[in-house]
Amino acid sequence: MGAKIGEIIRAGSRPTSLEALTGRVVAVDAQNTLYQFLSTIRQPDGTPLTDSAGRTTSHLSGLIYRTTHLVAKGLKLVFVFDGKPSELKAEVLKARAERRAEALRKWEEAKVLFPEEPEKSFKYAQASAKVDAAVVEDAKRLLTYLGVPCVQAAGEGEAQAAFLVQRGDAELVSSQDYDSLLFGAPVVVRNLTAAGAPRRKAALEVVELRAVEERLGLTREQLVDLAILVGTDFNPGVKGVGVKRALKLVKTQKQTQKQQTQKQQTQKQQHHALEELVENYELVRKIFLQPEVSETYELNWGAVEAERVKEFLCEEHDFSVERVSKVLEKISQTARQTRQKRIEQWF
Amino acid sequence: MFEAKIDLGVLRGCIEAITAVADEGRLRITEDGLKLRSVDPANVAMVSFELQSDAFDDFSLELAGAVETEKEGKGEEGKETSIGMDFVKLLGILGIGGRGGEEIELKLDEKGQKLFTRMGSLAYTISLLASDSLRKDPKVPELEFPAQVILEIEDFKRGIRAAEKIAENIVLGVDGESEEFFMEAEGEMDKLRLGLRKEQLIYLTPPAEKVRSLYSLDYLSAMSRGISACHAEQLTLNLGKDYPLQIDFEVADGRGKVSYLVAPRIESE
Repeated sequence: MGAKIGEIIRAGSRPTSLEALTGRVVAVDAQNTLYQFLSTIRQPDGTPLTDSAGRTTSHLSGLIYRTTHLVAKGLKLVFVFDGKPSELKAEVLKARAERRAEALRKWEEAKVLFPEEPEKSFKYAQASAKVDAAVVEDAKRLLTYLGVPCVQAAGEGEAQAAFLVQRGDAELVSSQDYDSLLFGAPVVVRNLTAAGAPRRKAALEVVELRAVEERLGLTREQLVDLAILVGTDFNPGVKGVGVKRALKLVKTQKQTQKQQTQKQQTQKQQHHALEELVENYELVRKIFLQPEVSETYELNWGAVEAERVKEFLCEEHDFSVERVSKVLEKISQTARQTRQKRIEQWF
Repeated sequence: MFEAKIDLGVLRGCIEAITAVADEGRLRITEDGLKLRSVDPANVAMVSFELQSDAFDDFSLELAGAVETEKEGKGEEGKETSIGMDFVKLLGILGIGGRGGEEIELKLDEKGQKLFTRMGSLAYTISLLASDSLRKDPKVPELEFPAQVILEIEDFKRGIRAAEKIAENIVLGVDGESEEFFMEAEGEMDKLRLGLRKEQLIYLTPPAEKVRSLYSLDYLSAMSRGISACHAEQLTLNLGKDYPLQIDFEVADGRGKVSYLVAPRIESE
């Protein structure tokens, strides 16, 4: 998922801690997070968690046990949900649906072929995970009961999340991939929603757009060009062009630009060259650089409605009353605790 | 080229005071001495440090072809360089050096990005951190404190030590009306209050109204240890209401100073 330039961007990440994020407003890429929950919170043979009616509850489990861990640590979360996908994403979505169908078939096969070796079917089960409308509805309902605000994006959730940060309504974007940086988010934190998982392996890390720009010697526009060359959710990328080659291409274009005196002329030329290489170049570029966003949203962190959470999770979806009550108690304690301020507030 | 000699105990105290807040940082070397300003990784506290060149037994700085920067306000050309230092590592090295009264020689090889140190018969070469791997120097916060207290170090340390036994946080405040400085902590079972009236303090600027702020003992305990390491005698505390705390004290017999700043904890909204 996302643009294929993760590797060179990740090189500029630095470790962080939950404590360093205390009191910060984090715009969470909901689609990405729910997908993580659905694909990882499973039984050993890959079967997702379900209630007695057979409905999947992996996403609810992730929200109630992991997300609340972050709330208890004093993070202020906002979940940003995808709006209408761009038409250019149709190819990617179709390919994903095919991969899911294939994974589902292989999973069924593996369950029959290797009943004694559940790990063989687990990866297929994971790949078959899908964030569907029911999952999104459930998540919004539970988050509302937990007092966590939800924002509906006009288009891409990550673009909306980046917009929240640009506007100053949030401080960082939480996502596993780096598209938010391309959408203009100044800081992205990875592995946040995995924090609080029982066997978490991945450490928390942050990536700053400015640091990436400085290290690679590229502007955000050029970073977008780079991503377009290697492939994004909205275009397949140029055949035979990997990250290294794309970096060279984008940089040489920068040089020609410097040599020319008439800037507009060059930009036109530059775009001209990329347009020849990439189908829909201008359209894809616009998705990243002038994304469609919603400006009418409200962020209110409400009180936890403990009774409604219990009703929804324990009565409707068979969660353990004891475990859920424990979590709710933990959050209500947090509400009474004091919060550590950061020094830069006085700079 | 930078070369200097200084009392080992003095330098060790200073570095220990820095490590109360920052594990690493950019140490500026100027003709006037050493300077540092660094924020802790969680952005809760800041340390500012200055050690004048006359605190050293020898101090020479010659920078051939180095960047010359305009000295603020004076209009003269000032020379300076900066090195990325792992203070925790340096403190460990100074710890094996020997007893107080001994001298340490420092020599910077700018090209190799190494600092040579010699303590008697022990020579130790420290690899410096790449300057670009360090965070940018923090800005100077603009603060106006309604209350100021100058007190004996021992009084402050006693308050911190007592609070550590029962709580994670401590309140520091000044009651303008009764002209009293107080430290308070509350644990699950126990409560603690240390009150010092004006005559028990060295100096007090009482605020118009009562001010108090809550601070994490994680930070104040570390700072208290840093203060002890420098053998300072008195502390200046600058306070406000739900406001940062600034702690100033002198090092190297007044030829240097350390200033800590720590952000408060506040009741959650």
